[in-house]
Amino acid sequence: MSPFLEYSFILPRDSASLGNFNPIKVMVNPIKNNRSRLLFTLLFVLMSVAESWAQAPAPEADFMRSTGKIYVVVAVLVAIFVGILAFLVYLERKVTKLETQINDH
Amino acid sequence: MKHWWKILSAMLLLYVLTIGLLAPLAPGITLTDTTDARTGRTVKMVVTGYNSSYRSAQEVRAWLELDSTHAVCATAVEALNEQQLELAFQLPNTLPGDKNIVPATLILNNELDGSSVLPDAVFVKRDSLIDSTNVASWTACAVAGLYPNERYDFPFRNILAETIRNLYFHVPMWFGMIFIFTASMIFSVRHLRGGKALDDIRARTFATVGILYGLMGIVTGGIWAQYTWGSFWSFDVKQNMSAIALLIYMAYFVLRGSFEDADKSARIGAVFNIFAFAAMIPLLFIIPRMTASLHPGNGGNPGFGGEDLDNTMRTVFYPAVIGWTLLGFWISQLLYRFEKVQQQLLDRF
Repeated sequence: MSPFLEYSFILPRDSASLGNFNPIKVMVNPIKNNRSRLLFTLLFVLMSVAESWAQAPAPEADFMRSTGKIYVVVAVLVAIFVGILAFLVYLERKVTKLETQINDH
Repeated sequence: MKHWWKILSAMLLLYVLTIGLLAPLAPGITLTDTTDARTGRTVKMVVTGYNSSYRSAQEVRAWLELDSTHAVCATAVEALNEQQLELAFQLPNTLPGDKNIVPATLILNNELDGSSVLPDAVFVKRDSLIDSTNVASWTACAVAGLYPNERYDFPFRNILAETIRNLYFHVPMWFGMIFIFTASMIFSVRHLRGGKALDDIRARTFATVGILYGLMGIVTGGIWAQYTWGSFWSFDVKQNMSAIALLIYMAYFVLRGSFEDADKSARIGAVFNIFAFAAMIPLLFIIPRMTASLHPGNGGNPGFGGEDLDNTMRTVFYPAVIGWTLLGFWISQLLYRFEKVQQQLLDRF
């Protein structure tokens, strides 16, 4: 089966067949600004990663449980790093806000 | 040197990361290929070890132990390699006591590794077909003359394995959170007594960082639990209570945000903050100890020790608690100084 057949479902070559209705526009339009688009993409990526973890192979065989489960410690350290990073972003945004306020005066 | 405690925090965390990640685990037993046996028969098994040195060791001995007075020692011990050991045990004709199935603990000992233990390694079943020539006895070969383990290493726990190191990262998040929330509560009391705006900013910034630490504690605990208890959230009493404590602290910010008047927001916020602290104590320290919990040191057994926190681990754990707590105070101080400057600028214009 040609891979185009599947795409043709979403992307009609002749848009006339659907009149003004463009499914792509309908799908993308609700998310207007770039930041939320990025956030949604990240969310979907994270969800699919979580999904693939949930379907992990039998215990003792998967990556996270290999080498005495040492990668669990790595994941915990990454989580703490992400937490501190999130705080840096929070502080950065507060500082930026104050800077703009000062510049406006 | 007013920055000494920040330097101390950085040094301690550097020490914790280095030693906490590099010191090896004590030798342990991961699994055996045989898990059941019958009385009067010979049971053979291949044992897989972790960090073990079965081949290099001169004197490897093995026991199957039912309780403190009943054990048999291996009749044949052969090291296949450093991590694999082939054992044979001749089991006696009968079982002590009147149970028909008894779990036996596998104990290994050699002069390089010291002792390693696998609880419930083999289930011994009473067999009615008795070999009359078998002279093995449960009391002939006691577990004795064990070589000690003198090395600097962390205990090997079967479910935990290397994740025992998370003790230096997950637990200090909660210790740090409690110290930070205590500081926050103290500044709220000071604000109510003196009415100074700066005390309120202190209380607020400490509470923010406390919540950050709590969230990091929840997430790191969830990741740890996923691979040891089997799921990110198992509705363990301590998990639930800490989530409730965090929600109460989040409500502090919701409450503050709902007042237009800054003074009123600060005063009522301070009262709520003291209440939140008072609510956190039973949620984290009392309720989890009253019921069964997956967390060690709960379910009527305050404090944890033994194999969960031995003296080697203490040499890393206590510096970790101090280091992470000081780091939390450092982060809080940055936030406080920023908010103080912001307040001073707003007052000027």
